[in-house]
Amino acid sequence: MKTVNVFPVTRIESEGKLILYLNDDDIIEKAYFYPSMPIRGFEYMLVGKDMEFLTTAAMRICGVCHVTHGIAAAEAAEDTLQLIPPRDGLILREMCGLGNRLQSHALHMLSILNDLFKGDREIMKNIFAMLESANEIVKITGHESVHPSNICVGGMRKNISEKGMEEIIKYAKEYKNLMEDFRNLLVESLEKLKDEGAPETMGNVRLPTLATHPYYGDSSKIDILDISLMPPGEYYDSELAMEESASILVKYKNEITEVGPKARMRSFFKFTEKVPLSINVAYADDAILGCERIIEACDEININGKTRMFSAPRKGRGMGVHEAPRGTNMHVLSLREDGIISDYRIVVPTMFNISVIDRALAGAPKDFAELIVRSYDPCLSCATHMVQIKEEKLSEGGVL
Amino acid sequence: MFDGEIGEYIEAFRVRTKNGELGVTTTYIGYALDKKIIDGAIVVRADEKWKPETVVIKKSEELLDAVGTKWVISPMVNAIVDALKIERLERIAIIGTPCQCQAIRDMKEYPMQMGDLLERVKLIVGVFCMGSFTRDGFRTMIEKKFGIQLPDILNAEITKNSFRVELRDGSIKEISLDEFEENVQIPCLTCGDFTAESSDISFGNVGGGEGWKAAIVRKTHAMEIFDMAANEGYLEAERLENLDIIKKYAGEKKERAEKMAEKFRI
Repeated sequence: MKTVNVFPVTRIESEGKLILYLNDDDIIEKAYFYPSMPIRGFEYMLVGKDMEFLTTAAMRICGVCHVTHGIAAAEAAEDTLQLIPPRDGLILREMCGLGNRLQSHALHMLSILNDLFKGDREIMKNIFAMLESANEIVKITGHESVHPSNICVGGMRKNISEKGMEEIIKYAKEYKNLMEDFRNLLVESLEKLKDEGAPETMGNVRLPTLATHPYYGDSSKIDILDISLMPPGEYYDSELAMEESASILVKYKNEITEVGPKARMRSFFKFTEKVPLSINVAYADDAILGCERIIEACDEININGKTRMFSAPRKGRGMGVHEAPRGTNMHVLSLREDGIISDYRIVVPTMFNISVIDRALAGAPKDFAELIVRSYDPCLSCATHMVQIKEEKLSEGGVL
Repeated sequence: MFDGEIGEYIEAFRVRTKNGELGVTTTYIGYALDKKIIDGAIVVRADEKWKPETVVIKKSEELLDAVGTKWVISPMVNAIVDALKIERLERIAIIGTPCQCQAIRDMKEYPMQMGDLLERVKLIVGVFCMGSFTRDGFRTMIEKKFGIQLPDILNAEITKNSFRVELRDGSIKEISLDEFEENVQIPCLTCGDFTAESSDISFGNVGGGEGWKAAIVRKTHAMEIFDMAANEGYLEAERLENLDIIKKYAGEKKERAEKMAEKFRI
């Protein structure tokens, strides 16, 4: 078996490496994809900080899936405080999160543009138009298009206006039209991959899936005790990957589990695409459904309603769950009675999906390796974690 | 032209309104709103207890509550979020003290992390200012010096030599400007900007003469609006050649600021 190293993988979020084990026909038998990006330590940075800082800091874990971390952090704090945000605050927050989904999925399409459409300029312009519309939706609901400051513990700081709501609907419709057109081209070009030697089932793994909600997140759908962590040493056979990988991988109910658009589609809708790398079509559908939900939510929200609830700090522990663009995102928070954070754990969707990517690569011709990784859209900035090097540290206080 | 005391400006006028209800500043903003030059404005209104409230208005009728000097520190910049991010207005005006005008001007010229958001502030209208009060400071001064409660006040303004208060029962009370200044809040004492040098146009009670306000026009677009408002009869304006009084106040404020800076210099 020959080994091929793709160092670094290009056109993915952040920095990752790929080790491919190929047979004589250049088909991938086994693969290891891992993040090589340095650790940034949000879980440790937040310990000792005030709860007021929580959403501001957590959002900055990532610049692509920024809103989801703000939401999951806020949800974790609200769970700890036993605080329920007002209904209009939750609806607005849901819209903001979906706006982020639309941003991220547009960027996803940009990253596979070269592979599938040879950098077609017309298609590229349309993708950027989608991104512009998504940016405006996040700007209106959240106040900024990246790291929106309107998200806070207790709901959202301020509601939207009549004009704001009209614009949200306009932008959601624009995005939806563009994405529906794009979806057709996408399915066509994925079909054509077969002519280039891609097997029909390339990249289409059949693994258990996990999704808590089609649009927002539901912590009652997940039991934290069903989550188990795999430090790199337990998973990788390759010494290089073991040493360099900066992520802890995650199993659900002791199985490698897929999260994300395909999981959401399978759990809550029908998904029957039979093209290679159908995950990309799931991304398009996930975005289109997001647009429809945003428009529906505009009917539900009362723009004169309260969007924020306040509470004094209290001692406790809580979990926040949100369906990030890439899948189920969980933040677990421990709070002291004076409102200072005493512990913080984050489990991001890519921690589930890294091992899914390895499964998706198996059986594919080596030339499609990077496209397969890009299709599963890993977010490695989020997945990079503190790695415990010493055995003793691992058992002290537990990892979860 | 540039002047050491009052900054860069095109022309100075003395100005008054024909209509009795609105003041000069509010008439100017009202004209811009009526003619759809701007689609909104951030103004401050105070209730009878002189508690300031920042509002985003879209029609000139809403200016009636915002007439008159506020005296008490009235946050205005915070309403940028409401006006631009929530109401999604595209061309707004702001009325502010010199420090507030400077804040907005700085945000426009150095828009770090705000993108082109502040480009939507099209008109910065300033007011002359010798200093502001905290609400407690103002209330203490009024109650101690005049023996009256804040809600008794109908109108209060600076005249040539005094701080003049008109009560609801019709009587007038005055204190000297020196006594008045003793109660100004301390951070204001470090400011050397009397005429709102960062504004597009600024208005004040000083220098126009009895019954007139003064206006210093600094930017062309503010000049155009001013001309149109005068031509259409909203404002009555005459060129102001003698700026001695305004410059005197401006110079005094700069001296006061320099002295304060010395005090704090280590």
